[in-house]
Amino acid sequence: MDHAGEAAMRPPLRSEVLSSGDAGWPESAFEAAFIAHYPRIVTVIYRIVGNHSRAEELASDTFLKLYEQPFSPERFHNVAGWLYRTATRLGFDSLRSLARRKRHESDAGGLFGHGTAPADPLEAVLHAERQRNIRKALVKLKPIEAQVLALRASGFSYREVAEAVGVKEQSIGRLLARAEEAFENAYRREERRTCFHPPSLR
Amino acid sequence: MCISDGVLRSKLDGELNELDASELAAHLDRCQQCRDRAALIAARAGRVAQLFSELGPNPADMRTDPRAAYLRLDRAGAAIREPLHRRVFARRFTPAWGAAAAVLVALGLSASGAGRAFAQKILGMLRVNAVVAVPIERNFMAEARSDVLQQVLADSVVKTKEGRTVLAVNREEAGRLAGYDIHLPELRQDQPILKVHTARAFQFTASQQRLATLLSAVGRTDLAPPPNLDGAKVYVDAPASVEATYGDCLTDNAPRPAGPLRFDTCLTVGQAPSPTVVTIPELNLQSIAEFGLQLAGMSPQQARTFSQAIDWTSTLAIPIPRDAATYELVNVNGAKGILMNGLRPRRSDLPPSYTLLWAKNGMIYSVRGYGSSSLAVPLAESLR
Repeated sequence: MDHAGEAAMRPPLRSEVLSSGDAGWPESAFEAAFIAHYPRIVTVIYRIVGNHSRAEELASDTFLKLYEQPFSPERFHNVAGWLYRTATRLGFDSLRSLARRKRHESDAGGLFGHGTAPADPLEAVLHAERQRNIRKALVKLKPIEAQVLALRASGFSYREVAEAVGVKEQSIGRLLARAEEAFENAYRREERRTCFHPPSLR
Repeated sequence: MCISDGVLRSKLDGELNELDASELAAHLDRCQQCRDRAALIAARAGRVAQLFSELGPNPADMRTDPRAAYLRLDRAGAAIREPLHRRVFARRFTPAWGAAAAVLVALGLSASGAGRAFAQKILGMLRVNAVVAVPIERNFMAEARSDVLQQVLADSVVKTKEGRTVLAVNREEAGRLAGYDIHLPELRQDQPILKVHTARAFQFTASQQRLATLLSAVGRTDLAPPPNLDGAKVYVDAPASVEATYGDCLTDNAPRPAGPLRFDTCLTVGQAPSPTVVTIPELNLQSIAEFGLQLAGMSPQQARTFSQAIDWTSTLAIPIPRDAATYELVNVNGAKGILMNGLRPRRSDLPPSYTLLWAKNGMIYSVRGYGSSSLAVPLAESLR
């Protein structure tokens, strides 16, 4: 995964905005957290839901949830971790909800105009098929495994992933190895299910 | 002893420290089994990374301006992000809150001690079927003592059901969240921002001491509070309300954007089922209203005449300070409405606003906008 560009634009993990001891979020602190993390949150959620408008909507929901939380440096010393944990959870909740409503074939994965869809029509169809299967496989994983994969795919370091999912940094390698194995198995099952089988010749 | 998958995976991402990495390299040199596992893990990680790269956004689709997004959020969510008590006591709600305050204070006060002794039996439900304008001489909420008054009232109110505000993506979702069909003006073709304020409830306990403080704060020590009323309770249950905001509206906290603002496009349509007020049986609503009206500046005679003309069990009184706004009675599809003009917004950089209020079929509606109110009634009548 080459995410050097994204990594270079990373906001600081422990935001300096959290220096006030007030109970409510000071407007300037909230705005600073928003400006620092919003674009990256949209990118992370986009990978999960595959729709830019929905990603922006869910990113806004993430910040509204943050604003509803009491502000305290002790509790929110890791605002980035809280934000990305909430954002990925909202993203996967949205994806699961779509899957339940049998809509995500047309909504989440079938967006030819998005992502890195190739120009060749046949390849575009296959690309969309793979996107659908990836997302179907993701929602079958344990939430923490899906979160780890989504965050790593968005260029997060082990430390950042650990803060976002609330585990020790030393556990990320093990979690990631396990998540990748579970994901690959789930993806293969989806592929077998959706694979086109020509009728056998009689 | 073999190396764990987690360590092998971390090495692949360069996430091992130097010491661990060199120990691992030494172990791999002599352990074929670990080398095989490392190769397996690396191959799988490569395949998964390849698949995930297919989810990567196209940079052209991901042009995200966080400042523009923040302004949008501020517009849509100012009410959400504003603490409840600040919203309730915000000056723009002064007319409604002034009425509620006067009525609530008076409700508790007019209940007899004997009635309270029967342990808050249920009177029945008071529901709003109509709205009425009450012209008052003074707006005590806007005067310097408003902070004292707010404190007195805030101390007396206990929230029993905490409401929250949810953004709805469309009319259907708003209706589902609110529990009733949402009516929107057909005259507006643009998409509103829909906010659902979920049901909330609170109880209010009358207190002799608080009332004395309140009367002192508003300079009405000449009004004698009825004695022996400590502890009388009033329960208020407010169902979910829905607010639809159209066009360029600026909230109290939003920074003013550069360039001209189209205030004439700003419109807010509110709707909610009538709140339910429950209190003790011995309530004399007319005397309560008289007390409230006197508190708001009417003479005893004016207050009596006015209160006798109104069914207080089903009427929401909107006190309108004479010097702050003008009002006219209008007809909205057969229902009586009050159209208030020249309301001064909290922000000095906004023009005066108008608000049209009416009640119909157990629902209370409002239409609020800036500038000319000539379209208020047609907009209200186009609600479907």
